[in-house]
Amino acid sequence: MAKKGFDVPSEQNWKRKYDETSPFVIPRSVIDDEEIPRSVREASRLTLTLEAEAIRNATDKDVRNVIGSIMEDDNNGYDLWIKFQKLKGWTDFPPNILIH
Amino acid sequence: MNLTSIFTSKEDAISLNLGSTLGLWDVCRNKLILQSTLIIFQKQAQDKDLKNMLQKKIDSILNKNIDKIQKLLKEKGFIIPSEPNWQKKQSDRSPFIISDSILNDEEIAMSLRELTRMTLTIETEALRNAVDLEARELLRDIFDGDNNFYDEVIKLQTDNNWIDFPPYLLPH
Repeated sequence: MAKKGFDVPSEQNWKRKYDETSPFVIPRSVIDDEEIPRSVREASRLTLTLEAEAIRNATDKDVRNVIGSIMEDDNNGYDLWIKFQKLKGWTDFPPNILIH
Repeated sequence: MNLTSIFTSKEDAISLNLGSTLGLWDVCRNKLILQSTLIIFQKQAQDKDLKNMLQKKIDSILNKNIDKIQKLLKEKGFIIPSEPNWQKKQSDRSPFIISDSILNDEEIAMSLRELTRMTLTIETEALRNAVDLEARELLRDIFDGDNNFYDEVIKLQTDNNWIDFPPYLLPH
């Protein structure tokens, strides 16, 4: 985007967030290990939805390549989260159904 | 068969269409998952308007939306997505500390807007796939509420100049 002259969405503070060592306290009753992968999986769904919409609407080859590659990575990540949930028995998937 | 009977066959009383069931399930589960995040945001927020907005949202999700979906799914004989610990989450008074450099009011508002986008996407998909009248009415009602909330979050961002919207464009 910068190469094409557009303003880019930026986040200057991400390194500081990672490096932050001041106290960090959230009670387990508010969020625990089982709820974290659920939330990440749910957030990944949104990411994949946005990327699918972006690639559907993009017609420039460069853009399609970039988005396609990002989407592939994120979809692989999504697979891993689902696999992880199953491995730990932390599933919250819709019920299995039979034909009426 | 007249149009009314399409929506009120005998089977409707005990069953839901695949699209309606999955949609209601998906919307309910999304709201349950969001509880933790909204409570973290509410506890972390400093801005009075943001804090109140989050508290109202947490209350309305639980009291209105989740209850209604669970009731409808149960009535039709389906197991429901449930989260038995939400009351504990809300009433927890133990220490809660997150540094502002990790999550501040501006970032809470941006994340809240982004999460609401996901909710609206899931709800529009559910509404698009649902054909049972009861399910459609409930989903439309929930969507209206969340879409109004989305308006409020964008207004709060604009009022506080916490803006991360895409750039303005001109025709070539």
